Amino acid sequence: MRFSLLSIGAALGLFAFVSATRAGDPQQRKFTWHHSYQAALAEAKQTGRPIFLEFRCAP
Amino acid sequence: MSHYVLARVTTLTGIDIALFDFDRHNALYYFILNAEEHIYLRYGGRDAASAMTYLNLDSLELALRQGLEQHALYEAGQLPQPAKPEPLYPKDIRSLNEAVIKRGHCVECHLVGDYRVTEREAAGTLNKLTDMFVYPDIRTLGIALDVPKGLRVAEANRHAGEAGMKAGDVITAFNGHAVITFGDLQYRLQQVPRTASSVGLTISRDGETHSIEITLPSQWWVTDLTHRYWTVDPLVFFKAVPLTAEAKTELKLPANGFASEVTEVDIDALLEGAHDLEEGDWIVSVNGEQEDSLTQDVITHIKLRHRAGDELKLGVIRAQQEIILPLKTKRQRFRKRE
Repeated sequence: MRFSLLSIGAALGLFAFVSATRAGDPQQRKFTWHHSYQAALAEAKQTGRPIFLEFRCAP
Repeated sequence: MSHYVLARVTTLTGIDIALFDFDRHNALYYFILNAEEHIYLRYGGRDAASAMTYLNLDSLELALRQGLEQHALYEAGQLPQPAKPEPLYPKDIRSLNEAVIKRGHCVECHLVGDYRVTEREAAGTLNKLTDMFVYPDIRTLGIALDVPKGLRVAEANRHAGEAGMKAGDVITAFNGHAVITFGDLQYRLQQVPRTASSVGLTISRDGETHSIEITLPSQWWVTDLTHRYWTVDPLVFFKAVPLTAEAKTELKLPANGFASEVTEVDIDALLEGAHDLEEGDWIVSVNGEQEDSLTQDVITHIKLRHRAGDELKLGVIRAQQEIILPLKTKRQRFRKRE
């Protein structure tokens, strides 16, 4: 698959920007990302928070 | 973002691909869901022109807010709870399991789509003329979105306009399913049977809810395939663009034909002995055919009408002379298959 590195980079950059500047976090705090879907489910069950799940097909 | 549990998945191994069903030709795709795996919304989707057409800073922020609103409604018991699909895992696709999972390779998104297609090809159930056109373009219906504002309509013309849709409307449901984002809308359009003649939408306008029915145009599901690559596609080792209407007229070629100009020749054409095309050649026929009701692009025509590995005869105009050149196509191999 010839995914565009530029497109992926742009999308990830977009997301990082939202994370840092639009979610009330001017200090660009780093968020913790689970790399296990099951671990995310477990935390969601424990905390009652919804899950923001990213599928990322790295080239 | 602190209101969410964040998860990034880079391999589909172990993922329920029936639940997380999306266009596998997206490098990025997002879901917002809860701990019971109730999906509130999707965020993603693209067109042939760009992976970023429907990804936008404002629409992402809007989707994040709407996800929290949906979560609050769910917690209050105010959301319907549709049944989950029967689970399906990548290991359930036999050829994918053998060639990728058992060898310890990453199950990339596009591989899931590709192995399912190749299994259907092997079983003789693949109809390329319809099955390769996945995730149709909403613009074919005449709907253009104001992308930063989610499902707010920027322009409604053709079939959508005739059905009564107007600029400023917000689409809230499609064929009875609530839709919040472009990803939701495109997913629901993909579910429509290709034989359907109309679709029903609910729209919000000035605080009021309206139902409209859009009559689907002929071959509404036909889309630009130039950004999609499949194992079943014949590799042709060149790039081309359709000839202009003026050039077709001058050459007395069919106006709706797929005559195209070669713009680039891959080096592999020489290494594979695939063809002797040159940049600037005009391909005017393939095995004597000049028209295709589904496309005006010669490479898409070859993808749809021929099998990977076929040997074809191209009618080519070079230096004002028409010649016949052979084309040996090849089967695509993705790097994780070997």
